[in-house]
Amino acid sequence: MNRTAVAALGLAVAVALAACKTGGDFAEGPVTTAAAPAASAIGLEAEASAPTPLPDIRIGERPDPASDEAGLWLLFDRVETQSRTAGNRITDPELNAYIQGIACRLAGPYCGEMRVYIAQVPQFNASMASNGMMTVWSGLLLRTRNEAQLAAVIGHEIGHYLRRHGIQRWRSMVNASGFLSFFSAGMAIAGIPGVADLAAIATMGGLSSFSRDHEREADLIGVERMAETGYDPREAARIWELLIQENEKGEVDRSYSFFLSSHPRESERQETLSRRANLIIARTGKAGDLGTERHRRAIERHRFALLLDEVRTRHFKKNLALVESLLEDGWRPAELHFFKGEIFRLRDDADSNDRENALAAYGEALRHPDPPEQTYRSIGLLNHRMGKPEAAAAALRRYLDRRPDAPDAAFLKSLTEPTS
Amino acid sequence: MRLRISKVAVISLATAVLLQGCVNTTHQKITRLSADGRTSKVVLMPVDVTLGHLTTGGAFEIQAEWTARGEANVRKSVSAFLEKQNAGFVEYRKPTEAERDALHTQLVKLHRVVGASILTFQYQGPAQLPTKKDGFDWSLGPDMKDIGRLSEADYALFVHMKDSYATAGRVAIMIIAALLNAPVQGGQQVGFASLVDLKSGDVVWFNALVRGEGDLREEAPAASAVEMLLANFPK
Repeated sequence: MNRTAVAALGLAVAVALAACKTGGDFAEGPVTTAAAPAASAIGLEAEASAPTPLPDIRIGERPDPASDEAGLWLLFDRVETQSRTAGNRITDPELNAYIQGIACRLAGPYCGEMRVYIAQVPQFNASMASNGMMTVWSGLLLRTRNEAQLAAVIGHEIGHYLRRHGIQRWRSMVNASGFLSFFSAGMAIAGIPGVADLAAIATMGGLSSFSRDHEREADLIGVERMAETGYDPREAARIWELLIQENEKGEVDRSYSFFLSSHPRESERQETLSRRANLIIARTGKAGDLGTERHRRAIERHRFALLLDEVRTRHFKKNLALVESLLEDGWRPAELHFFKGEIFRLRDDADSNDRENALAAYGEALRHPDPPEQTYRSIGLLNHRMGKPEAAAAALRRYLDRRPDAPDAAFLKSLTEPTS
Repeated sequence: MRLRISKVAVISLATAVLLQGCVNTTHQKITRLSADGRTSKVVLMPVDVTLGHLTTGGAFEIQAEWTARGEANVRKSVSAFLEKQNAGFVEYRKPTEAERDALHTQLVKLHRVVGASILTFQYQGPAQLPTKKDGFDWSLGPDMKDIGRLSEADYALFVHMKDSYATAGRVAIMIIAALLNAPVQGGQQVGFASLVDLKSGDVVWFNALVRGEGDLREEAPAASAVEMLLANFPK
């Protein structure tokens, strides 16, 4: 099979999907995304004049079948067919209707042009394909604190769609890689093969800065759309504050590489967005809506699963920073204290007193209304590990009373029986 | 991404092996469609055909118009081929129920993976699995029966083809590279097809095609490509 062709197809998907939100700690990002570390603060003034080399897409517009853009659409139509039945798609109709509703509110007449998919991936991200397929990652739902923040991200993705950033990025990549081949062949003739690597780095750098401009442009479209549709535009900057906090407290290892960065640094985006939001509010004289309750109602049933996905990444410091940050809102604290305990229990670092901290966190969970039933299970397992069979048996029995049909009931029951 | 590329690399290795010399590229469990000589029905699953440019830098860019033409040509050629083989050609119909449609989509996705695995691990070469040296036993599982029930067919035929055409820039690179005695890949036609028994879900016949020529955009060369791909098809 044609290796370059297939690899390039994969690359095309990655490149065109890479119109994503963030640069975070995406070391373990799933295969469908181009993981994007954050950037240097070059081009702070891009706010004033973002590039618009192509006219915006019109409602109902489909690319000319003979064009490269039609090819990109076809590629994404195929990806979308596959995504519809993807194993990690969250299909819950209410949640999907909620997100699609926000997209429609922001997109206005373009509502019918885009389709939203929710992917179960515990990271802060969303992506937009040229054909209107938007993917929202579940980690985003967990981290946004209100509907306005979610709207900021969705509005940003709509910006990529309207400005046709996907095809521009693809063309830039094809041109850049064409340049690379000529350059390598030329260098081979000249007898200095190693130089080609430097050319590769320079070309990649060019590509990245191209997309950084797109990110800035999409940010501004997002924040304007938020304000136009009645959301508080200041929440767009707030997301970046939260993300910076999570990464700092989580000691996420960041290497700020100019060439390989495809996204503006969070602090730059935060400052730019904040400035713009204040200008908008000064202009319109109104702040807009947060939609905190609507957001909570929509994710309430899902949050336990979302937190479980996070903790399973075992990036303990980052997990802890996130849970601590969510606790500040005071919403459903029992669940959060339980997961705090889970982080300590799973890390089990003796120097940090993790076992004691875990038991304290579980205790805290039980002091709040509606603690997860699993709290007793975890207390039982931890006491068992600590060589306290009576305490273990008591907690496990309480769990099994509540969940007699738990899949691991037989195993847990065996731990409650005295060993001879 | 990383995973996919390494897999692709293995596949390309396998196909590189196929390309060398005239090996028999067909694997099969059956040589006849039916034991009693009655006409068997074959449903053609949605064909996976992709046509595009090979750009100067070696990137593959899908061309939507060519792809639509190639798809139509391949479907037409396959149905003509099956008629000649005295097999009943059945058009695949998408189920109207959402759940059933999702199942069928999953089976098409599964076949893509199984087909790529056959290419990688069945053919003689460095990636061939020891367990695949003798015999040919791949299956899509009993869920395939549902396609048989809906289409009232005995077999399902899956066809994947990809045609790439070098752009002028790519041709320039090929010439420079040839001068340097370091050949660079130009346009290619690659494909594979499998025939699946709808009673068991087993892959009963499989063939692959890799060549540096051909053109699915035109009817006659498309027909000859399909005939090459379906060579040794069970009678």
